[in-house]
Amino acid sequence: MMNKSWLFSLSRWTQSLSKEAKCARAPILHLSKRSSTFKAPTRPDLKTTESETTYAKGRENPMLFCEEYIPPQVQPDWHRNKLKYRLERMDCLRRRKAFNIPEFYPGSIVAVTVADKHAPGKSIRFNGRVLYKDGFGLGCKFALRNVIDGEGIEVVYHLYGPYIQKMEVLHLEKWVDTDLRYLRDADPSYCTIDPDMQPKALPPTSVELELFRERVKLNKSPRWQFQYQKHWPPPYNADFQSHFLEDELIESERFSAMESWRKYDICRHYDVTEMKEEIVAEMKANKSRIEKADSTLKQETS
Amino acid sequence: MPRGYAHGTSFRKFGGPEKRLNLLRTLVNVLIKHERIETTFAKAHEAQKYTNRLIEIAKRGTDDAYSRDMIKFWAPREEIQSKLLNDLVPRFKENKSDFTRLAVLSKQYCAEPRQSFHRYAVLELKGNPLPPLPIQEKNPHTLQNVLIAAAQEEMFNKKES
Repeated sequence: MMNKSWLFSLSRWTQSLSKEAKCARAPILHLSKRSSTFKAPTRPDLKTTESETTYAKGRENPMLFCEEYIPPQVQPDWHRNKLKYRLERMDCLRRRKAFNIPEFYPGSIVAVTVADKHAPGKSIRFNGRVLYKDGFGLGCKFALRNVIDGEGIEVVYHLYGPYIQKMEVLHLEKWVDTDLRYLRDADPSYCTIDPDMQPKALPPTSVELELFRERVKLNKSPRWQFQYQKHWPPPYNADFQSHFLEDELIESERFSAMESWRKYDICRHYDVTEMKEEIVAEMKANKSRIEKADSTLKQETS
Repeated sequence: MPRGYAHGTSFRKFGGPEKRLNLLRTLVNVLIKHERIETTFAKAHEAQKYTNRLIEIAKRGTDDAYSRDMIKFWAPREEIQSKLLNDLVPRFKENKSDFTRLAVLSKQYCAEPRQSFHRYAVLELKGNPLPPLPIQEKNPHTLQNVLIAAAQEEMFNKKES
């Protein structure tokens, strides 16, 4: 009804126009159907398949490749037991299919709910900053540190432990160092995390993560847990030289100079580029292998 | 495997880590320049490992920051760097990891500095223009080698299918 009245008023207006005015002005509405240059836009494909999710440079698809899939370095190379590594990686994929282990790095803040039969509610939730994530395959462990009521608490979890019920990444951060145990000797504000902290928005996987390059100042007292000045390589994110006196500085430089040859000893370095391609190809095949194995098991039991 | 390594490593000591790397660096540079050198077996064996690894790194190209740093340390002089990147990398395009050949010589008596017998060896790059060394390469026509080659092919075909 609305359309009809509008058209009626329009026709009245065009009739009222003088002949000259009609020719001079362009028509408001193009009413004829035949001479239309309108092209309907194509309907966009909103389905996102697995192959379409792009992963940026530092981040990988955990089903295909992860840092814990790299076996520990053994010299010489032919001392390895490769069958063991392949079987463990298959077991890692089995767990990842059943439970979503999120992506996180040392320095990010993670909350973990763990099953405990003696706890009220049968589960415990603990959140904290990840200090390190170390180990190969199913033995991969990570440590969370949180300071509650002035008391520093650290808990070590197995990444593939079946007692883990839930894992949330509250703040995804990637530090240059992979071993942040020096935070025990630093300002406790880095590790005091509110137990009710709300998760922050995760960046999508197509975005490259910026490394956290700030330097954490360690406490003035020299009673640290480790003598960080005598370790090589020296940690990037830790600033332990600002409190040093001259002779301590000279000694720390002497230690780093003693070990600096390790940077150029190419035969001792662990080259992972070739191994990564092999692992990715292996994990792609593992999907079908697991399905085959599970289906044969079902047939045997049924 | 040659004996004499400390427990848990596969490297010799050569008087300290820095001295060792400097020694190996000179050996690697000289090998790249002359394509065949004669030293003690221990030095040749270590230099072989490092030349193989260096050529593997050079094959990756100079886009990588790591490979640039390593080539700068191990081949500081321009002529050797250019030879490595322009001559050796295209020569070893198809080889995966075997770029050198080690031939062992008889023991030789060294009067100085220590009065002892040292085993000498010749280390050369493959595909060098010098006359070939009188090494007995593996004979592919013996019965054992023929059977082994056939078995390897069978395994390879099985894996593919």
